Amino acid sequence: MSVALQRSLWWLGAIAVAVLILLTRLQLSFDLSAFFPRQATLSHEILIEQVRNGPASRLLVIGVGAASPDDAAEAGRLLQATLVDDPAFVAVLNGEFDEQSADVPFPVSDYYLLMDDLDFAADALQSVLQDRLRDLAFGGGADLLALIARDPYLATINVLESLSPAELSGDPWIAQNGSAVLLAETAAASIDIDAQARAVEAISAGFAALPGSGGLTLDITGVGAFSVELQETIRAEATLRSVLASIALLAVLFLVFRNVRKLLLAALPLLTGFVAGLTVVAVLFDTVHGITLAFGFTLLGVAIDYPLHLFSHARRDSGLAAIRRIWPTMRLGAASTVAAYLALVFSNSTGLAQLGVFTAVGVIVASLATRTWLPWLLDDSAAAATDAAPASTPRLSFLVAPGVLLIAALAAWPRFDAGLWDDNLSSLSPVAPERLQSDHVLRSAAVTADLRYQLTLHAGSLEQLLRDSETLDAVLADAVDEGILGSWQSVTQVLPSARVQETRRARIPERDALAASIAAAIEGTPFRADAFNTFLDAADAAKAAPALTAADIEGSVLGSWLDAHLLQLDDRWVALTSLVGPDPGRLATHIANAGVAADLVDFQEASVALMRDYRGTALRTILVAALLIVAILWWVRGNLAQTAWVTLTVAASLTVTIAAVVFVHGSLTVIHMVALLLVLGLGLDYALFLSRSEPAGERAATDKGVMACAASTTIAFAILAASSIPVLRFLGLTVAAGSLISFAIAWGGSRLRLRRVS
Amino acid sequence: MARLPTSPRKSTRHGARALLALAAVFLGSPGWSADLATILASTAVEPPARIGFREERHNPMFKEPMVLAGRLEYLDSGTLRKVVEIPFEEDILVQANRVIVTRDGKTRKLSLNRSRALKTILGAIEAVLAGNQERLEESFLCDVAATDDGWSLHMTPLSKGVAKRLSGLQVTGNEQAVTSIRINLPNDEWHLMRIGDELPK
Repeated sequence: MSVALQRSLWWLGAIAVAVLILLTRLQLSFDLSAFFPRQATLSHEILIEQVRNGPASRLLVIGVGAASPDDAAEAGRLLQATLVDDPAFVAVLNGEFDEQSADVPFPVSDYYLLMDDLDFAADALQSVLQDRLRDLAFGGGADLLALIARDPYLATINVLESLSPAELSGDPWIAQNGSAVLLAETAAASIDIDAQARAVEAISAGFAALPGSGGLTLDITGVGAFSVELQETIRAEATLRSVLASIALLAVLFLVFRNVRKLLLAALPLLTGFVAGLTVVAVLFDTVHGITLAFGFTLLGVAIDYPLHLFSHARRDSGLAAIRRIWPTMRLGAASTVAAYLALVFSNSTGLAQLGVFTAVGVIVASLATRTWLPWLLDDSAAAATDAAPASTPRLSFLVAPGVLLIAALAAWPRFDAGLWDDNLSSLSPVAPERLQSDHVLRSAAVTADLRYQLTLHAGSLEQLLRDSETLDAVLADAVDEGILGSWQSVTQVLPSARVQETRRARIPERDALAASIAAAIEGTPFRADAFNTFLDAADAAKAAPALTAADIEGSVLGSWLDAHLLQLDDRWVALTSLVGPDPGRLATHIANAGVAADLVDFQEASVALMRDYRGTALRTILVAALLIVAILWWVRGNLAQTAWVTLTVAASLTVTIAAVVFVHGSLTVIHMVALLLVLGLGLDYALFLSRSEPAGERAATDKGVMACAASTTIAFAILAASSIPVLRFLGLTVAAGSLISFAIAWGGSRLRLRRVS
Repeated sequence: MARLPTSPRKSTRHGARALLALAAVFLGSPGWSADLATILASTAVEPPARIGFREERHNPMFKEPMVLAGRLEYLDSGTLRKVVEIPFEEDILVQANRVIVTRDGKTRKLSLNRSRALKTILGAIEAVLAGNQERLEESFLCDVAATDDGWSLHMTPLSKGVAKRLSGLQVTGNEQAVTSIRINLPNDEWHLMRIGDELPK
């Protein structure tokens, strides 16, 4: 058996084992929160939870356009009637009151007398019954009669109104563009793309079935709808760009090597690295995040350089001899790159740790595959002559890197005024501005709870939290009276504390006493003596009922509402209070003055802070990795000047790349940061190869290899840079520019001066 | 199905029924005939118009009817007003597809669109105002009968959905005027509004 076959069998066997492990272990996840810091602040945790499951994220906004606003309203009404019974939706509102929905859901149906502070005194009851008489002077019908007979205080209605995700004006919502607006709250979270797609499909099907739908327009916006739209767009765009980039990469490589066999072989280290990285991540982590795969494969791009160096050097020598000569340099580059990637393992995020493990293992295995497998697969027809010429080290210039750095800094300086980093999550959003504008136009027609501000309370126990929330409710009621808040939704409107439930239960009079109060109250009114017997029964039942618990609500139709307002984070309970029409500054002061420990969370600020913390942690970790890389270089090369040159060259390349990216994109995001890691790996590779000691005759092969690496990377990523998707665009430009700049600086610093013979 | 009910109070509490009573305002002009076309031809009213009313509201919760009195106003095409003076004060304005209720100085605006029954009834009232028999018969089965002192128009909703909430309307009149309008609801609930300026309060 030939060595080539032996090696191939060994490697293929290892790949097969890895694939087997993957088949049994690999579980993909798409939970974005894996990429957020683990030790976040409470507001960060809440923000993450809100992104995943918040009420705002579950709201689809539907716009129905017609020839006139009246026609649109009518079409919207019909569409609402179609969707309201679809289990995909918790609620579908159009701004009008729904006369048909008099059904009261559990637990409101059974616990309404414990959900409000009701005054059962005879005079209060008399006043309440007079109000109901006036209601009956205006309205009527079996539903109203049944409601009043059972709940003369209309406590049921007060609770149900507080649950509505929007203020119902009574008129259909009409947007500025004349479209009728519906708000559809989905049962599924916005991150459940499949469920969101089904909800969007249900809306589209309902719309298509409307009479005259051909003359109507439909627009669906909201987080879920955008996710569904983008899933297709991103998939198509990513596929197109990947295919184009691959074709460009292959074209460059073919131009350089003019050998199809080599093109195929060049993919081997990358693929083995990918399989190995994925396998290790699958073994070490419960699930592998989709982003780890996507970015990981990109970061592994540096591994394509390894076979290219080998092929260049193997042109004038056998593959085995070539790899022996270049391996020290390649190993050093790979080790340095691994150090940088491994830094991610110690960052404060599970997602980044996965990315670090994936890429570090991938680079190690790709370099090993290049060292131990590829040389035996190469056609060794090249002359096996070894170059007898003495090795020389290029004369390294210490002026090029600082010079370019200075010029770039001067050119980019004015752009840095606005700050280097863009920590706004929305800058990464692939949603087109016009779609966001459509969402704004439609959403503005319906007065929904403010999406930016929420009040948070936290406590060690649920009961304490609910008691605190009740205190906050009283403070907020004052705030409404003072005009600094429109209204609010708090968990205690549905789930009072056990203490308050008990107090309210104790306040409900015994049946005889209540009956006597009713008899006195209906004196002189048209009410029959037995008109409120069902109320007496309900009061008896409320007195005897066990305390309402979160678990009771969790299993009811109000479960999703509760989830949006009550969170359990490890050992803490958190209550979220939604605000409608808050004056944030005055409200915060009002709450602070009242001595309530509630935080007014500005989610926009929280998301910015989250990104800032995330980036800060990652940068600190990378800084440590950079020092480690310098130490490795010095230790391996043992040459201070060469180590200094490589360090300076790579540092200058990164800085100039940052300047270039800021010049084009305005600022840096976390995506740029991840891309800069790849630039670091590429820069190290180029600088190490261009500064290595080698015979003069071999230098051409080195130059050719590095040029092939730089050209292929730059062109492939330039294709990504032209994408309409921000993440791809940021990644593409950073790596394309970084590859080119790294090459230019390393080349300039190593090839512009005469070489000295060592 | 996990659905959050919205605001049944607002809709049912201030619902359609009272608006039905506003129908009476249009029927102030007489024109007796046992023939629907003749009646409709004579019921058209030119705004502004105003007339008194006395209304009895019967339902299973009441041992005796609640009695309301006040005035009805037809202010403009599509703009109607019911002013309750006894036993309390309340102002109900129907305008541009909305009901605006003013009670104890507080105003609430309600959309008419939600109730199909109410919309049907108001459509009928507009038809009566306009003397539009075709439009009336789109929604109601109309039965005209001569009575001892005038005529009686029975209107039964054609829609089964509407019929669940409205059993029928009965308008009576004589040579001089429409004298009453009775709204029959399911479950033994009915409202009788007598119309005229000389009614006992």
